[in-house]
Amino acid sequence: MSITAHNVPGGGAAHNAKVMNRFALTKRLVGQLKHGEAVIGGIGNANFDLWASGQRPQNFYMLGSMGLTIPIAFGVAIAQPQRHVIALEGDGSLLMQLGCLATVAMRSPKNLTMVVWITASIKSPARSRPRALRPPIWWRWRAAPA
Amino acid sequence: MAASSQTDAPARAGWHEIVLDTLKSNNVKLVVYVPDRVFTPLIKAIHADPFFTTFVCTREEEAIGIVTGAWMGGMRAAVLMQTSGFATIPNALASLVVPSQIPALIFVSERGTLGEFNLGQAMVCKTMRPVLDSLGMETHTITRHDELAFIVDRSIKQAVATQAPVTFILSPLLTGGKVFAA
Repeated sequence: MSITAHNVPGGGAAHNAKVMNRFALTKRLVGQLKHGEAVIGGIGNANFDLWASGQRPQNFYMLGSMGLTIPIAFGVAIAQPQRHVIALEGDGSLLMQLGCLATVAMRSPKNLTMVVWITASIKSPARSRPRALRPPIWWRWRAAPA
Repeated sequence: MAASSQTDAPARAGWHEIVLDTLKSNNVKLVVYVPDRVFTPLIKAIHADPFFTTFVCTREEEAIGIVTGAWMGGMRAAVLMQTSGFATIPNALASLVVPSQIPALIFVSERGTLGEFNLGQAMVCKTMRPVLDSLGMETHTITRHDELAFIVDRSIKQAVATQAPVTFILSPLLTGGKVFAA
C-alpha cells in the first residue's frame, strides 16, 4: 500500500496533531516494539496501517476471517506466554465476534493487549478519505486481584 | 491405557480415553471447545488432566482463531464441536486455516444421522462433508473403536508434517451419539 497525504495529515511526523490519526498511532506503536512482540492486524485499515508502518516477521496480517484478530492473538499469547502479543482490531470487526472478549476475560492473559480502532465505519477499503478518529480503546489484561 | 471399569470383563478404554491419550502422546497441549453432550466425558477428562490447557469458547469460529494463533506460536491445538457448529466455520477454514496452512485438529461430534429427530440437525449434517471435500481438507469419519487410535494418531502426525488441517467426524457408531425417546 502506498502512503498518501490524506492518510497522514501533516505528513509522517504529525505526532503533535490535535486529531488522532490511526496510521500515526500505529506507526508510533510499532516503533516502540523492542522485544519481538507479535502483532496481529485485523482485516482492512488496521492491516493497511500495520503494513505501512514497516513489515516485521512477527506481524500477521489477517485476511478474510473478519472478527478473528483477537482470537488469533489470544492463541499466540497462550502458546508463547513470554512474548507480548498485540491485536489491532477495528470496531466493526470486533462486533462480529464480541463473544471472544468473554473468553479472553475468562483467561485474563497478562501478555495480551487489544487495541480497538473506533472508526465507526465498516466499509473501510472503499473510503477515499478517512474520518477523524475517536480515541482508540487500549485494553490490556491484568491479573484479576486475589 | 487406563481400564474403563473394575469388572471382570476385558478392560477396554472408552473412546474418550483413547482420544485423550492420543492427543497427549502427540503433544497436543491446547484443546478448546464449544460444549456438546456427547463430548462431555472427553471434555471433563481433558479438564481433569493438568497436561492440557483447555477452556470453553463462545463460538466455533472463535475456537478456530485461537487454534490458529496457538500453532503460529508453536503449540499444537485441537478444537471440539458439534455438527451444527461446524456449519458456522467454513469462512474461517477457507480464508484462514487452509491458506495459512494451519494443522488445526478438528473433532466433530456427529449429529443429524443414525436416529436424529431434529430436521435442522439432519439438514446441516448433509452440508459438512461437501464443504470439507470442496476445501480439499483431510477428513475421517470414525465409526470403529479399534480404528480410532490409529486414525487419530497417524492423522495428527500427517497434519503437522504436511501443515494441513484434519477433521475427525466421530460417528454415533463410535460415541453412542445422542439418544432420543421414539
